[in-house]
Amino acid sequence: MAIAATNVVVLSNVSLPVGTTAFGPITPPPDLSSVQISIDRTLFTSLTLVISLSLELSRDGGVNFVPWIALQTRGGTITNPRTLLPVTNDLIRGQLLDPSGTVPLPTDSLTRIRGSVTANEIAVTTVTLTVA
Amino acid sequence: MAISIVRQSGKIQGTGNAPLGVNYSFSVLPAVGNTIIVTVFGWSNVNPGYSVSDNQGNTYTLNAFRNTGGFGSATVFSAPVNTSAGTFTVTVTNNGSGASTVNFNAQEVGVLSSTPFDKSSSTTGSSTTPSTGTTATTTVASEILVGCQKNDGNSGIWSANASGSTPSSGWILEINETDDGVFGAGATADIIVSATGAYVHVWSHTGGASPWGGCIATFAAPVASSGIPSLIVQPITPT
Repeated sequence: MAIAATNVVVLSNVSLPVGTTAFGPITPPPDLSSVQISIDRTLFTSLTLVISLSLELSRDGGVNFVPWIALQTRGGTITNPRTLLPVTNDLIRGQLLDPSGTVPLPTDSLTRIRGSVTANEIAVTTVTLTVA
Repeated sequence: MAISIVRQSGKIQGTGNAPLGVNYSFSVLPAVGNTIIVTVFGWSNVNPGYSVSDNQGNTYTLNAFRNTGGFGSATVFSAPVNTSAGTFTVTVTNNGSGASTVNFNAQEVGVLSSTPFDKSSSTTGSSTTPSTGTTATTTVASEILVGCQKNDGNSGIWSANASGSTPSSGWILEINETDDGVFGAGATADIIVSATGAYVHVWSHTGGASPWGGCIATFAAPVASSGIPSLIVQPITPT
């Protein structure tokens, strides 16, 4: 039976200060192998805003975390060229694989995910982690 | 030693306002002497829209590229691993502006020639069967062939080894994306061959026909030594 995607709002409608804001660690449900972090860009109106999102992964219950995936994006209003609709979220997604990088290594009881958002200007947003 | 894919990132995807950077850190440090091959597809409003770097200072070369004529492009990059220490992080940057996407797979491949890039090809069309175009005849028997394509439309389910592929089977669908409205649809495929030839890969998908752009790059193994050591014959000079 497929396990439903799990959404965790890790930062809810917060005013990000200049600098780095950490979140987690989060223990995801077991047997899931796709991780996505999205950030609400509705209020990212400043053209000089630079935002970075990064995720770190632990497979030993949070004893050791290693860098995994990250995203650097900009402020400003943007439109999806495919749908012609305003873009309301930026996101990054990765797959959990074994060290060979070829075999899925789903979440288990020892999996932890933590991350951070870095901003060069004050920005209001919500950050959501989705594990599927 | 035979060519092998030592490890890979799997599908890493990002969307945002370009210039857009998307990073992946290998969980195991790539070995010096191996090669990192990065396949990238997505939307960018400049062509070629992508560049690749890492935090080790290795130099990535664009080996193959094709834009669709519409929203996107497909690209193959490679870099010899000359430096590898600490955390090895690959960054793919979409150098366009506005809403943009990045889909990539970073593969550590060994053992290749010191200058492994051999042949490339690219083509474009509009159908449900994107192609890489056919390479010129490869130089070395043992090579890894790496294809990448971007599809301008929601694709349906992707398959590798569609009719027209050479070889006709054995290509591995490494990463794929079906939703062009979020990440940009497209796919990659690769195969390790043991004979020279003119190669092409064709994907197929279950959605409707739409414009696409595809490309391929081939990377060669070191040419095997004959096993006979060189002899240097020098005259004996009486002293």
